[in-house]
Amino acid sequence: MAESSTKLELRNLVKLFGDVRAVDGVSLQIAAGESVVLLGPSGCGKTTTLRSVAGFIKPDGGEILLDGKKIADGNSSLPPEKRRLGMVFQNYAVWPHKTVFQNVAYGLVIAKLSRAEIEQRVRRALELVKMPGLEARMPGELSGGQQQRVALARAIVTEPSMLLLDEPLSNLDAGLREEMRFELKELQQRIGMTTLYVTHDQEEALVLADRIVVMNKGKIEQVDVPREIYLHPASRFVATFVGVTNLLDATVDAVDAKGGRIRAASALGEPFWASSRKDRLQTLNKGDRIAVSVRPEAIFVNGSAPALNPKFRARVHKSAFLGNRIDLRLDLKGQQFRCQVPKFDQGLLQSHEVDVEFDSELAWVV
Amino acid sequence: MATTAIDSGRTLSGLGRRVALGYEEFHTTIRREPIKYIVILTAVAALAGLVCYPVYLLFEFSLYDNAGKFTLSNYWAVFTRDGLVSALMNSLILAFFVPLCCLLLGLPMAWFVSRTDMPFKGLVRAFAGIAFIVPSFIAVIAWIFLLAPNSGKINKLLMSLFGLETPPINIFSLEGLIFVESMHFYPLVFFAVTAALDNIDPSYEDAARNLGAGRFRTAITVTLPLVTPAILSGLILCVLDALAAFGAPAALGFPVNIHVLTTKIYTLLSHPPQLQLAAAVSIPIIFFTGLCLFVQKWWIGRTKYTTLTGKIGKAQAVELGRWRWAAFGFCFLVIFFSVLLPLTALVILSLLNTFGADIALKNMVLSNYMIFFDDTFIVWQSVQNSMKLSLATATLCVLLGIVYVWIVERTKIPGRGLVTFIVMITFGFPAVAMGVGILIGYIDWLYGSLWIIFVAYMAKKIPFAFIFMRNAIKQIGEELEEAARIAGATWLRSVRDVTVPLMKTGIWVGWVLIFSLSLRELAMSIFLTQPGTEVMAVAVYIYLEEGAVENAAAISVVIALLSVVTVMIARKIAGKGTLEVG
Repeated sequence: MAESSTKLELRNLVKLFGDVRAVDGVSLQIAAGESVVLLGPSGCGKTTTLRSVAGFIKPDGGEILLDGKKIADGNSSLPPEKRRLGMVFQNYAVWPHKTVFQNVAYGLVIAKLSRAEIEQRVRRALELVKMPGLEARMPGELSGGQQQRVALARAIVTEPSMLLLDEPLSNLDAGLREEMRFELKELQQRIGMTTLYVTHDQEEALVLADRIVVMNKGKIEQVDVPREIYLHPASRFVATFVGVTNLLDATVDAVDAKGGRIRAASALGEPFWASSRKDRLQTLNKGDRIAVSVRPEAIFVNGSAPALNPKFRARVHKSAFLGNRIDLRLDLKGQQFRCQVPKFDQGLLQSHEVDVEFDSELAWVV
Repeated sequence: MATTAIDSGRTLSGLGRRVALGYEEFHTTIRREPIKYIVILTAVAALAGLVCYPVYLLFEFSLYDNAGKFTLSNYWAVFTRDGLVSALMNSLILAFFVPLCCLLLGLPMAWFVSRTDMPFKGLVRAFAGIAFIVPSFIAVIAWIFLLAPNSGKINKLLMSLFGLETPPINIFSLEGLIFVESMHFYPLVFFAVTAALDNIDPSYEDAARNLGAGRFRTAITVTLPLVTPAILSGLILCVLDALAAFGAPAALGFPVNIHVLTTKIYTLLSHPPQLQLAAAVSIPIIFFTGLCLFVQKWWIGRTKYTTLTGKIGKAQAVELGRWRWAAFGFCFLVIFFSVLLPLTALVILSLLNTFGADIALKNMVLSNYMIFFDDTFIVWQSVQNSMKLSLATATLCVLLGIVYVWIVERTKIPGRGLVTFIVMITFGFPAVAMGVGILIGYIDWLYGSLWIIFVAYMAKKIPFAFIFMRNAIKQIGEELEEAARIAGATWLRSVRDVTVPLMKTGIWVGWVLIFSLSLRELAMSIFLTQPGTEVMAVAVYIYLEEGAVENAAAISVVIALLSVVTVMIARKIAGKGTLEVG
């Protein structure tokens, strides 16, 4: 990444709460125009990281650079009002005593813009979030989704150098949340603003992110594009946190460096092939302990085609018809597996035993 | 990618590090935001001067003799000198029986109002409110009018009805005092319990009914345990108030030489002032106050359950059948004796041309009220003094309250917990004891001026401001302030644009209530006033002592009206000002 295009840089950021290392050495670069999502369970340090960038938390160590200029380190921290950022809060934080117009205009009033320009920019921002003509309303008269749009308009109207979003959709109901995801994505692409977004919702992250930063216990587990995070998780944690998976303890039986895969021996009996990252592959030797992540959709059920991997006989524990797919809970030599079959098969729903086989491309060594 | 950071802070212990960090942060922030810290430091200094200094002096004085030598003789006197021992005993008797009576009256009333189909519930609530709002040193005047041994109207009535030789009731007694105070303080139990009942999800009770418990069994086995903490806190407030009360004990006790600790302190301060002894007599009140608060805290700590208040459904009223009128009869009797009878008597008394005159239209005059308009009396002066003091106290208390609450709720300044602690100590601190401390502390500088009364009012009313401001600021999500900072507002501007406007309702309610409480303050004013600085409540007391009971009644009617009206204003503000915040 070229230095000139770096919008935000975190260098070894540390924040302690008492003796808890809430953020424990986080380093990250975000390019101008990029949309980065911090993803992790509650308490992983993602919100603390975001609030450090916003200026509400003073880090205990490390540095934060915005546009190449240091805005915070272990000793000093630029107050939030001097950072020229936009932020959308989890509870919207739309001021209930101000009208929609006054809410959105607030930052512009502080920047002492002319009345005419303020009006014009507020109108444009409200159009952008699809709320034109509601300037005179009080927040109490708005729905949750509308308040969220006001909060968004307020955050972007000042044309901040960066947009921060702290779980902005978590207070909306499920349907609206899904709709807003795509709207946010579209808006972000249209205005091209650099965005740092915090969420614990993995689907939200997959939709919104150019790159996802998966965090756990104050540290970064993996930074990558959504596809890579899902298909090629770097750790057990990432594999289980993003999407649903079956984790299988195994040992290395053979390494195929050229094919980018290893053969794994497990309690299931006959060894099977699974893929791995090249650099990881080089560190593995026969007998090493590993785990293999097999996503539910990476298990073929009653496949007829001859394949690379062996077939295992599994007992069907439970089955459920979910419209576009069938969900199976399988028992393989005492191990529980979840499995999805993307077609409707009445016979499958009623069978007690099935043959399963792991897709060697999609079974992933973590 | 993640790397492990090792910074120097790791070598420090957790607490040491936190303090060091707080200190360091404190200093860098002072440089950056001087106004913020000037405001905060001034407020903290005010707290030290208003509260810590007098309380410290109170303890110090109680431990020294006139010559300035350390001694325990002041305490020894409290437990040995005849007059003091009986005062202590009387205070304890009050502190036991008043809460007991309050429980017997307040608890059933609360259950009737909150859980049954008793008629006129709103009326019962409203009158219970008035019973508490009208100060007991005012109600006591009416009771003297009605139940004084020879002249009392009810005594006369009973004597003529039943042909009695001697008056059957004597209000000038310990029993009379227990009665008058119970009639004033039972709303503490009533409101604590109704508030708790209103906040308990009725589905707890529905579940018991569903499992076969009858309505009274449910009330005893489910409802009662759930409201025990509320009952306890109501009772403890009764104990504290019974111990700290001055007006009613003085009015009923002095003529027949029955003393409690507070009235004893007053006499110790009057003739040749014995400050050391007065300080020592204050200590038992403080001790019992502390004990009560400790018991409450211990009890709450012991209780393993909390009732979660999420969405609260409407309670299905228990149907009392024909007993609903019996329930209302009970409530009506309490209201009749705590509000209707004494206030009616007070108004009549204030209109009678002489105290002993028969209650008849021909004896009714307005002349008792003329003292308000005659400069030769202290009354108009006292009205002005009370107004000045109450306006100043309410305004400054609210301003300081905002700062304290902001320190506690919105900063990480080390020692901010101490601010809460000091403020809450003051809340439980008996007014008379606080008054003695302030007398000792400020007598050389401010005695004889309104300022010393102002200092006392401030010290005692700050906790009210703190509680109201705290509730108000807790309604405001911190994000609302942060959103302003992000948009470019400085600290001061975010407070001005967001915090204060959103606290407005709480600020006004707090202001009006502090104004109302200051307007009728007696327990501290009584020994801090000098000729020329009398306040309204003191004027009532002076007229009462001089035997001009009908004049005292006239001033009392005005105070009672002002009290009720100000509280109604506060309720009005609180009711309509509910913005949807969040």
